[in-house]
Amino acid sequence: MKLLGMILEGDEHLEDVLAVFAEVGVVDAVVVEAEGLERVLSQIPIFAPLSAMVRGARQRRRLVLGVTDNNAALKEAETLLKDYGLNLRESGGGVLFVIPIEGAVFLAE
Amino acid sequence: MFVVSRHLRPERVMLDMEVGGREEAIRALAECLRDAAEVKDFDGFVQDVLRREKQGSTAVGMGVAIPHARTDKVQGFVVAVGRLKEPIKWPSPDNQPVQLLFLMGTSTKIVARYIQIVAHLTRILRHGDFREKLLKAATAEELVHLFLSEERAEK
Repeated sequence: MKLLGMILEGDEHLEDVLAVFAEVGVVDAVVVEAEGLERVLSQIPIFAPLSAMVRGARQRRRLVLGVTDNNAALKEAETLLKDYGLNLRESGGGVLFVIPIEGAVFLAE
Repeated sequence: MFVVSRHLRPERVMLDMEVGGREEAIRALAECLRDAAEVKDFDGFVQDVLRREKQGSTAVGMGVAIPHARTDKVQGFVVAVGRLKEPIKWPSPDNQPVQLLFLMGTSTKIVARYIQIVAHLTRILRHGDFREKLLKAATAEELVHLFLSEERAEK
């Protein structure tokens, strides 16, 4: 069992990411509105001048999370995202990650 | 991932269907699932698909519609593919008329798998060259083989 997650910069690929999560077998993904560290720092006066220099400081971010029993979910998701035009290794459009889960109990469908 | 090709068979493909509208298209395509072992109550299944369609169009754009039902009238998962001789009006996000139909039914017990299949199908149908091949397939066998080839290439 894995927790598949993605920190996504901007809104452009949100639907694509959710479709990919579904395709790799994620059950009940959630989307969390998030603020990047750069954005938070930019609101602190002493760091504000630096905000223009930091990539993504103005971008809205989303954290997409979901559980899957697909052990290859990370690799499959990366490949499928390329099909939607999101090459994480080149574009820097977000961070895709996976975390092992020791155990999970699901609500019955 | 052989997501669709695993479930698709030539006898569940109808080519060059001549229909006048959405409901007629769904009813006509459903006929090739009348004797499907997965469909436990054929009339009930068709009614559930039509009921779902009335709740909101299942056209996804690109000339494709995916009429479907999550229903206890189906055991497991079943799919039929229809290609219309002429595109028909069908409310869709891009206002394109529909020519390719994917009629799906799934047990209420395998929702996650169902969503996985819809996501997969929607993605591979975004490939324009693949859609073109589906529209040009000469036989049901060829159409099934196209899915197999497309999904094999992704493996």
